[in-house]
Amino acid sequence: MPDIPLDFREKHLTTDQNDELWSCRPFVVGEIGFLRPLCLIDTTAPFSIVSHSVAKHVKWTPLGSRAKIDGKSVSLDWQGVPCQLGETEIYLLEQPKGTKRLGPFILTGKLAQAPHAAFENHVILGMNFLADNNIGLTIYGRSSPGLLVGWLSLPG
Amino acid sequence: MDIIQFAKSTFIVDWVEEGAGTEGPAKTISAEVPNYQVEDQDNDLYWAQHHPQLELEFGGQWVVPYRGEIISHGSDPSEVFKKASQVVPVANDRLVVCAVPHPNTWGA
Repeated sequence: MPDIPLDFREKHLTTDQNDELWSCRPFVVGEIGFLRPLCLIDTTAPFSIVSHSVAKHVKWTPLGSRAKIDGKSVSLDWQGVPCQLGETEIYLLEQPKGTKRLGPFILTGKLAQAPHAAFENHVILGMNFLADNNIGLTIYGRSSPGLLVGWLSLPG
Repeated sequence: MDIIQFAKSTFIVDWVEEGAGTEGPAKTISAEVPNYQVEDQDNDLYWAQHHPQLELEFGGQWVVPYRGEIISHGSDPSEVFKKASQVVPVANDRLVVCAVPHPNTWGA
């Protein structure tokens, strides 16, 4: 089963109390058409989210603009940005040597209908992305503080 | 160095008249096609998405990196691609329009 290493992007924050805090997020590089958006792995996101500038440049199959859970309407907004549900395909690139393109993988989720202030050129890969494509996720801490390693295990 | 200067310094671009005697002369660009492979494309992609100076300068935008230079950038990826393809005479599938992380995402 091939693996795609996660790219942990780190930042050190300095608080107004002058404390140093470490933070990071796991990314992979995706390829949708001619675009290479930043793909954030978010285990708290039930659905994947495709930002507006990506969504309007890819072919996708609409899946609806409203949804219900147990008969009750649920919001499809993404931090205030209206979204529709849709499906498209994405390839994943092995970085830093990205010559290996793996996929296509099903990308089902919310497609933003307006720009987001900060995450505009992102795709957020939610839990449904892992489930829909039989992809495993491994993250663990190293002995050195503040270091994480991880990878996506792709179906062979 | 702006993108036009970059193109002129990198490639031999000459104008060739074609189509005389049909519907009038049409001008097309014939250019020396550089040896730019998928590996080069991926190296440029990695550089563009990880260089801290680029995040400061182009954070939140779409960029086209090419041989260690940003040759086009902006918020609309179609326009960014179009501008880059007018400058660099390589096959369109060799041009990478990639996202540069926005520094403000870290408070979100």
